[in-house]
Amino acid sequence: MTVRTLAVGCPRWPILAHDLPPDEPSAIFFANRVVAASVEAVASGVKKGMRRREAQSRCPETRVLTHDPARDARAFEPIVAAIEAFGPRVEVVRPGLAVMAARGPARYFGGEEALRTKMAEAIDDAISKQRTQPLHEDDRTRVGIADGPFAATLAATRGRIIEPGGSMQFLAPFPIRVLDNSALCDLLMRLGITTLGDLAALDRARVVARFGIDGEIAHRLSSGDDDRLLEPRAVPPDLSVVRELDPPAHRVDVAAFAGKSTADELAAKLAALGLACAKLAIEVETEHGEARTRIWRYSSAFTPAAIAERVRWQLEGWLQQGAQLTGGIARIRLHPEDVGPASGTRVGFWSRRGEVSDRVRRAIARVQALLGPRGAQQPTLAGGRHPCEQTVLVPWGDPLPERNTSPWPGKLPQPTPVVVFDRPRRADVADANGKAVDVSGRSVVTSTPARVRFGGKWHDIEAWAGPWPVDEKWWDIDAHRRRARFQVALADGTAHLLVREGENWFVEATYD
Amino acid sequence: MTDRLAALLAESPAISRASHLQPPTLPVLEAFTTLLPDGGLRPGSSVQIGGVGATSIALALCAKATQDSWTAIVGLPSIGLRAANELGVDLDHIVVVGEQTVDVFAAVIDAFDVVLACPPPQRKAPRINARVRERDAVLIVLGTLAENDLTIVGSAPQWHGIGNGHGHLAARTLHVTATGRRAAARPREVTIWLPDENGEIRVAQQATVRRLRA
Repeated sequence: MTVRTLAVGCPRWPILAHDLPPDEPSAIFFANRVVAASVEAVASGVKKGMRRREAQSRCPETRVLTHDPARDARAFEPIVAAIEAFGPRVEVVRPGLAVMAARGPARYFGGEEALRTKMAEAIDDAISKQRTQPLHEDDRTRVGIADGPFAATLAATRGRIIEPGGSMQFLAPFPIRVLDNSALCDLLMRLGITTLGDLAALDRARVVARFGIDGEIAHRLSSGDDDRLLEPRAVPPDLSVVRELDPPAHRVDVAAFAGKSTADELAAKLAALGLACAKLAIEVETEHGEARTRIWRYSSAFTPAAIAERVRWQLEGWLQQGAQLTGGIARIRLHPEDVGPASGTRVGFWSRRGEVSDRVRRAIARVQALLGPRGAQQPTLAGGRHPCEQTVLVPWGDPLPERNTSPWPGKLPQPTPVVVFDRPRRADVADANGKAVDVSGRSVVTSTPARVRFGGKWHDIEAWAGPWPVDEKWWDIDAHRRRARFQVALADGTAHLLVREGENWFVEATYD
Repeated sequence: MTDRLAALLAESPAISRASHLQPPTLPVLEAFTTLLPDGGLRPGSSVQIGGVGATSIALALCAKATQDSWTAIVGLPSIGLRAANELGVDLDHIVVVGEQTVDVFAAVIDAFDVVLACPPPQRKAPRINARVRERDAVLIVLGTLAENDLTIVGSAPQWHGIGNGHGHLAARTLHVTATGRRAAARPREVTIWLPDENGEIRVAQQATVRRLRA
């Protein structure tokens, strides 16, 4: 029993997703072959599957675009939404091609022809909304309806409606290549079977005996006997929970009480679906329409108690800093992110990182409620030549990056300076005669440094080492940095890390 | 009866005096044991560190404690955490807190065993000290803290390994003095390698406990 199926085809979707002027030839290549070509390029003789050199010889002004299926898929998402407006259970075959069951929508919209034209217009609108450039006449969406997804897809390329039972006749003249199985197609072609009609004319039992399961599938498709059911994409359920507060809550306890019940509702909703979330967005709106959002992360999945606690802390944080919100809280919305199946939490077996006492965890959450996620951070070692690059601060609760233990040629010898300034302080270095010390292009000092000035005072240099040149990212014009480093020990016993960059001296760090 | 009680007390000196019932001190590196009156960081005490090398002293002082206890670094954005790691601080037990407000201080002192911070406002010091005592935390302040229990000052730094245009900063000796209240009233001093050429922290000169001349 084949199902009446509607297919929506956006021809040359990978090209359309790039938003280029329609009269400009362009093509996408992958593995030296044309994946998609624009209308103009096709008019010049560029074909799908053609070698790059041949394509460029036929149309030298072809603009070469990058092949990025993920981008195509992202761009297709709004189009799928437009298709879903006509009927549920849409199956995306690939970016640019989607199928859905046609019977229900056709009855609702007054016949298959009416549905077809309405959908084609709506989808063209959706595409035009995404693009700044006009749509080429040949790039318009084509909608086809036939028995089964395979026939419908081919009907869509023609923009036709195939009457029920007429699929076999419609499919017969198509070349055997439209079957998505190149090995079998090659074999069939060499056997002299060049069209779907030729294949359908054979006895199915013999085809199965000779070609196996692939042969059976090909035979079924070509005889219009495509009873594969659609695999619609799952529409994600709306998991966010909203609570309107009337009258608005001005006091912490009132807001916290409402927050608690909202949090419980969210926890129940997640539990009912067997889901857990690792990220939680808490949004509030005041009676004056101010909105605040804060995203909370949890090292593992949120427990109901943890959700309620976060909401309470956050509401306290917002309401106590009275200057920030001008009115009471009128609306609380909790939106879970990073949702996955609730599979229980795992505690590290060896790692002591997991062993955080509740006391510490609560204190950190409190600090984060007051200062934001960056208020409490966890350090981890990283690679780098500069002392401040060698550690990374990660907001508490975020996953830590892998520790980088690879060697860094050109990093400073140990010990590492204890105080590293965010912004290097300006300094001046002079020799015994008071002349400014410079570093030549070959990393040689012009004279012996004897005194350094920073913080408005001159200090005598007792011992120094350097220059140690650092030439980083010379392959990148914007990120390129060329520096020369010096260590100096001053007469008062302190030691500093000086840097010469461009025409300036800086104190970068202090060995306090 | 009294004989038996006396014998019991002799067997277990820990219960003989009430002052021994306070929580155990947090361990410190061997170089600091003679410097601190209790041989470690006493929970519920506040320490002020100043002079030369204050940051290194502060990090080295809490290095051993971070192996098992959680430490918060509050309001010290320029502290070099790689250097802290080299001085023996276990970064897995460190939380870096950006700003230092009274609320943040209170939350952090309540939960963390060791708090390394920049000086709080002068008038808040008594309240913060009281909270530290109540919660059995150790507060180490880089700078001045009124009514502290212990003041540690670094002086007479001497760098080794660096010449005139050659070598590099490799090792440093530092003279460290500790004075304070109660048991710490008698000043103690020690000269330590912070660090020595192998990156270790050790006593350079046998610690001497003597009264400093005024």
